[in-house]
Amino acid sequence: MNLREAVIAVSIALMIALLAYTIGAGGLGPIAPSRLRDLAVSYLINTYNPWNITKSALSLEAVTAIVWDYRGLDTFFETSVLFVSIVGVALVFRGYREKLGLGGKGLSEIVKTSTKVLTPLILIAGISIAIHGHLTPGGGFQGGSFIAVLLVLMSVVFSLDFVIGSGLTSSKLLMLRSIGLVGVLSTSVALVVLGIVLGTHAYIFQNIAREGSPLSMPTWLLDRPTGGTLLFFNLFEALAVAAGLSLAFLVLSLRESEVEEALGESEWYE
Amino acid sequence: MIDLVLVVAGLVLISIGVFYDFVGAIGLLRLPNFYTRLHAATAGAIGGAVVPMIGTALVALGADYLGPPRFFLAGAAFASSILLMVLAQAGSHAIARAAYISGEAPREPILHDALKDRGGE
Repeated sequence: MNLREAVIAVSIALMIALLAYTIGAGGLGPIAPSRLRDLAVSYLINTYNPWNITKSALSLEAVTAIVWDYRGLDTFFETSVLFVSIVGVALVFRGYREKLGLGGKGLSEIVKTSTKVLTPLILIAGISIAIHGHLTPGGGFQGGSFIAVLLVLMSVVFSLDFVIGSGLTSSKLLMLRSIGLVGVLSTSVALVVLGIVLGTHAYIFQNIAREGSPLSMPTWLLDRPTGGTLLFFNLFEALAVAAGLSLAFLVLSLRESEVEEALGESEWYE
Repeated sequence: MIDLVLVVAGLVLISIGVFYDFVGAIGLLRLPNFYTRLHAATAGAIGGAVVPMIGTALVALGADYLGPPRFFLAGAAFASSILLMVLAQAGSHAIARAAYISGEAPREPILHDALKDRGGE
């Protein structure tokens, strides 16, 4: 090590130390405000508040309560961006055919064995993140993306032939994604339909009873809180996201001879 | 007494992990070719992450003042250490195999290539 490298190392260390000291002493502004804003206080009080049920989401996790209850419609359009883009991917590659026997043996036996150990764990962890979304940090989107890793991992380790041969074709994934979307939609209008049948008022994306609309979703499953609609939203969202992201990855990783017809068709359009 | 034994055993394991991480970092910088450097990185993954994570689990079990959450901490640390032990070797094996078969990484300096005798697979 010559003098130049030593000077660089010492100066980087000195800069990090000085920056840490400055931030720690509050030189770049307060690290976190010491008092909460009124909006934050209201969310913290009302997120799980069985004594004032008309303002509460009865969810133990404030983020999920805000995302799927207080601003549910917003989240629905946010999440539909993903689904529209996946439809776009499938549309660009329309006309492809999945073929078996294009070669590809996957990685070696050691990697395959460890992946076999890991595969059920990823699935269980993803489902657990999704259905505990109203209790712990996480939720449908996070759990769904967790599960979507499974197809990526399997197609790398076991080869794409194995994935398609085991029945995870893009039409099945599209069907699963549609089931998830239909689930999200029907959960959001479930109370409206019930309100029409019973002759009372209800809002779209209503979760717990509000002033003027007394209907509410079931909030307890045995001795566990379910957060009303939040459990269903997280579950269906996880299904839709897992299937949708897997579909996008599967379509993007198709081999050349599988998309030949799609490419030929595009030339025909020109 | 048993708490003290658990904490001391955990701290010993964490110290072993510090040693392995140090050796792995030096080896990653100083060893001559790709495969030996990968070996140093793997030593850092198993000795420097799995062993201290088991140590963390022991320390958490022994730390009485943490209350009941210490069992969650210990269980999570133990489970992730076992997962890492299964996966770290698979990952470095896949990298080494890919580098060997593609021939991208220079193999010199080398004493004996056992894989070559068996036909390269």
